[in-house]
Amino acid sequence: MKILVAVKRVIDYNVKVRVKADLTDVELANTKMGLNPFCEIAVEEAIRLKEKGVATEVVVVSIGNKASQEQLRTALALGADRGILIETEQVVDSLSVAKLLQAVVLEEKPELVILGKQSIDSDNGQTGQMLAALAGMPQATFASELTIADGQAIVVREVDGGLQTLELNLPAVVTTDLRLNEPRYASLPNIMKAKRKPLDVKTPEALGVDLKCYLKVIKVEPPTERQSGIVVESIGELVTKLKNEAKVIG
Amino acid sequence: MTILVIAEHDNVELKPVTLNVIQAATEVAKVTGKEIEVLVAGFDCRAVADQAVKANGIGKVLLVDDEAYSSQLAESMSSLIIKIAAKYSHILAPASTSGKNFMPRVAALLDVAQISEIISVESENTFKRPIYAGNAIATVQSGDTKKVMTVRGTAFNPVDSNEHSIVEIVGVETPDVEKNTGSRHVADELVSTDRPELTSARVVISGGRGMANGDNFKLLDGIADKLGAAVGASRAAVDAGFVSNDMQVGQTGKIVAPELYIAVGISGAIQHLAGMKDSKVIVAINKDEDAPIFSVADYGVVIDLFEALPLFEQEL
Amino acid sequence: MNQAQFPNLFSPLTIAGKTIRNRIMSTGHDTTLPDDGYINDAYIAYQEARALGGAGLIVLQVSAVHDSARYSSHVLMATDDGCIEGYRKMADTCHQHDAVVYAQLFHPGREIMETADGLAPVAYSASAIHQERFHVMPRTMSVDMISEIVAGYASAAKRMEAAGIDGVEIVASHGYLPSQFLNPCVNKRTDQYGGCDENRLRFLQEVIAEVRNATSDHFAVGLRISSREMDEHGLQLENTLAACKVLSVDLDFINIIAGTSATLVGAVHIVPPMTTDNAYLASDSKLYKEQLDIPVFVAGRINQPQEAEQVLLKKEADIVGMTRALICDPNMPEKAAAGRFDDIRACIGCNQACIGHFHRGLPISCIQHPETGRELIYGFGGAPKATTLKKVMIIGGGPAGLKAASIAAGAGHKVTLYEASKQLGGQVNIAQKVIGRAEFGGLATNLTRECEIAGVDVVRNTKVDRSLVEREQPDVVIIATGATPYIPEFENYGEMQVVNNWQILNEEVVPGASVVIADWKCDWVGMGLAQQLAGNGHKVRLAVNGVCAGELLQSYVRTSMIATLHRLEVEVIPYMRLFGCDDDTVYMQHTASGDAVMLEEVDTLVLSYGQQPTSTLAEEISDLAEVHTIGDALAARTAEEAVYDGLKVAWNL
Repeated sequence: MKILVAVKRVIDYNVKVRVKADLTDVELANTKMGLNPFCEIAVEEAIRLKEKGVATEVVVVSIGNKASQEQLRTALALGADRGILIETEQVVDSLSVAKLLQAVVLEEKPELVILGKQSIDSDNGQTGQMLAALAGMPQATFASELTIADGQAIVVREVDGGLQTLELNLPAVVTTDLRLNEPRYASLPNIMKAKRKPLDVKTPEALGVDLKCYLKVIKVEPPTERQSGIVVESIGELVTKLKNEAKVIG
Repeated sequence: MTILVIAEHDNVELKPVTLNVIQAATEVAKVTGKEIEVLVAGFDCRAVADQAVKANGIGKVLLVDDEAYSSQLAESMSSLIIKIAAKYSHILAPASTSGKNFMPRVAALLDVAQISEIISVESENTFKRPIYAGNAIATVQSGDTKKVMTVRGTAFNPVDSNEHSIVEIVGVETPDVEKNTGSRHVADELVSTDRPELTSARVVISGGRGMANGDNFKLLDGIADKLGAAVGASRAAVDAGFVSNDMQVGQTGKIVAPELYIAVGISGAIQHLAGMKDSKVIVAINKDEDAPIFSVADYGVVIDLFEALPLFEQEL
Repeated sequence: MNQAQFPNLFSPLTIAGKTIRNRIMSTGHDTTLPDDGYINDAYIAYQEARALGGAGLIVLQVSAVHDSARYSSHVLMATDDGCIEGYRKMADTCHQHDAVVYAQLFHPGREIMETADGLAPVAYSASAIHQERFHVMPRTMSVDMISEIVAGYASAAKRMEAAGIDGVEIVASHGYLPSQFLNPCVNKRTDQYGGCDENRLRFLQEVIAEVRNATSDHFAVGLRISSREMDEHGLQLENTLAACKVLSVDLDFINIIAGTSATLVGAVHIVPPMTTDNAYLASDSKLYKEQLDIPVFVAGRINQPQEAEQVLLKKEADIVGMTRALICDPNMPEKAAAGRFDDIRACIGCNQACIGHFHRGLPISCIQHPETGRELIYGFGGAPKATTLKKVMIIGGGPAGLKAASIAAGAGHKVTLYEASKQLGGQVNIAQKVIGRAEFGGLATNLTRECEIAGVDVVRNTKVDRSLVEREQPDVVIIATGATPYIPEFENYGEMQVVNNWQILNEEVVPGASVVIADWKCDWVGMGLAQQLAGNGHKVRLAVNGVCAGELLQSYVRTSMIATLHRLEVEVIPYMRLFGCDDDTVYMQHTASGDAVMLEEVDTLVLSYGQQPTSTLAEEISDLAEVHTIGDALAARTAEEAVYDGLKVAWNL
């Protein structure tokens, strides 16, 4: 079984983001970048499936500028077999990402596609679902447990209020939640080996995908600071205010 | 063109967050003058439609009652919605695990963007949404004719729901919706507690080191029962062994953003604030008037909590 | 004595009624020999060696004048009468050998480097301005405290005179307390001690006046000052010269030095390393001499009598500080006077065991002459004659073998030294090829000369094996065959050029354009290679295993090498452990985080991993003679340990 894993280069999760003074974006210059944590979980899950003998090959794909090769190399160091970079300097909308991934799916014909449930930069949480729709595959988002058996994927999902178990025909799309696994660290021997693993670079044009901008970001601003409120004299007054002023209790 | 709100429900009960989404839809309607329709898709879910019709500001409730939607799987829901999508300019669903599951599929199948987790409506096509875990707010503009979006419930007040605004329930037949054969629902394992879950509760009441011991957390239970609240704790209370760590609210515990957060005997360490600062209304009850919690609280009462809690329960 | 070669150096000079027999001075320098605040036998023996060897003027190490002046845990305290006895013994000993002896009156102000219990000190200065080297933030001295300290100088001087010391030098050099009052960057006071040059001078004027009041006319009172503190926040030449013009009316001499303790770059001049020019401060002292009417002393890398004579001849100074020359060879004055120039063991400015030991809290020594600081054990005049004469074979002509040979032969043993190559010196011959370290070769020259004097037979181009030992039938074999570069295990997946440091120094290989030096050893070799390669146009990254480049080096040596590397734009990467390399990337592990660090676009990887002994001869001949293994052949260390090994083994034959 071949598994395709999509990964994204994002601002390192340890870095506190700052909004740029011109309110066009957050500051990306000289900011430490890293592999999106949910993507790391996706890579880990694919590798574990390979280690269990379920998967035969793990292919990682990323869409972004040349620097995204670093994240592919990280994924290769973690144990993926080969990488594909769809290189573009453009900011790519989720839907365009899904279309590019679908083009890769058509070429690679994986039986399972694993993605992070969301990237920690744009927080959209939609690429996996969009890919599933475009590729006509069933989907299981927010996975906390994944088992492959009898040509099916059994996925436990984290949903509001508990867990839900689904059974998917393969090929399918699974997106990872935090508790799916604890990703390993790339060991130095594997980092060295990763450099010798194949990494293809493709272009959106070659894949026949037009990178349309569906959603324009007009402004990025810092969240408003919480203002301190008032001190009331008694519990009675508090309850009255909560009822009549804040209207949060009946 | 019309606005469509997808109702959140479990075939029995309309989830309150739907009313918040209707409010977001109402704000779109205000700038576009369009009518709002609510889709209840499920199985044996007539009761949900009956609750939905009471929501203020809507024009119609569409009911799709079919076994195919019993679990509201993403494949079925998205196939259904795109079939009826033609007449709608805006399709809104809550940013719940359910809405987040099917709405991107809807958007992809309609070849439009999906706008995730909006927190405000700026115009017909312009919305605000948090990025970088809320550390920045993006204003985004859609160039699509249809806007498919999920809504952060806590960012909008719920519309009123009452008997006077009953609207028509229209049954929708959907014989030509593509059948989902790719995925099957196997089981649900929902946390069954009398209290709501911390992360999705509308009201959370948390105790800190000031509670003095684990037994005193019972003082919070009575209030929680009356408010339908979940009970949480600060790290100090967890570290002191008063309660188990699954109740911990904070940077290293659970992140909550309820409509009402009541901090009792909690000083307000930075790591705790990080876990609850996005709550809509924050109440602090603490006998130390210099406690940092008061700097983020909308309402504070300087009072001994052992005096305050029985009074509070009584007043409710 | 035949003093014809150095008419100026060996002409006497009288100061405050005491005649100094020649112009050679050992300046005040810490020895870490005293350990309880008082002068002890070890320190007296140390200075006796210098007095005996012919030094004209000995200035003792700093004596603290106030309890707040404990700048290290080994400082002498002159704050109570209990100190007098020690100074008296010292004075008597120096006088016995015709040397004049001065003491230094000292307060460091904010320059406190350590406390006895390791806790952060409460330091006092003219103002609360931070210092950079020890990261000390001082408190501002109150006027009462200033009075108390001024009185401390006076009472300390009084004790010195009572002990028979010939004079004192008030230490205003190196950014210490008097300089802190003088310096407008440190003295921000608005009272009578600050605000203008006149007020900033007041502290020193009061100190000098009180010291004068407390002592007689036959007691010399002088001032040591940095002519320039070599830092933009330090005192400049015009400041110090102007101050000294005013102060000199009440002084018997001015002693010129440079630098400041307060900053890294300034501290280099406290003990300038071998990259500094000889007698580099003579031009400054000349200016002083021209403008002042009192004797002017100077120091600073004057390590040969010829240089000292030139300074005096050119009237650049009246007395010449030759401190390290005397640490290295206490008999230098006597040898110079006798015209035995080749016998002088010249200081190479390595700083390793003199100031280097001080910074590590260890007693002073010298890598070339480990007897220094160990006078109570090794005396003043070489090994005692042996009662049983032995036939000694010494194998290896590096520092360890040469030292062992000279000591053994000096004791009367029949010593033959075998060197496998044609040249004596061992690894010194390679070490001196490191850029800026040419003077290090002096170690081999000096030790070779000592062997000649002692009558060692030297056999070159001869590799010793068991059969040779069998033929020679020695009583003792001392193996000093040194070591060869250590090559660590690491992953090598590709075609990158990988070489070791010796191959570069010996010009056996041509490195590529982009070089990574994996420097585990953190000594001068990795840094020197970086400097050499960067200077030759290579892009150099120096990946050091320690927290900084040159971690093992004496700090002044390190500072000056780091400055050079910085100017050459060598990228220094600390906390690096070599893991592997492939065609063009070196893989390192960050030793604090464990994270991988990839250094890309590399042509050549240079390993600087020190050495490892390889000889198995000791085991092969253990049945033939008494066998000792010394120096790097025992365990790869530095030249200091090698020479000391040689001394110890040969001394005890």
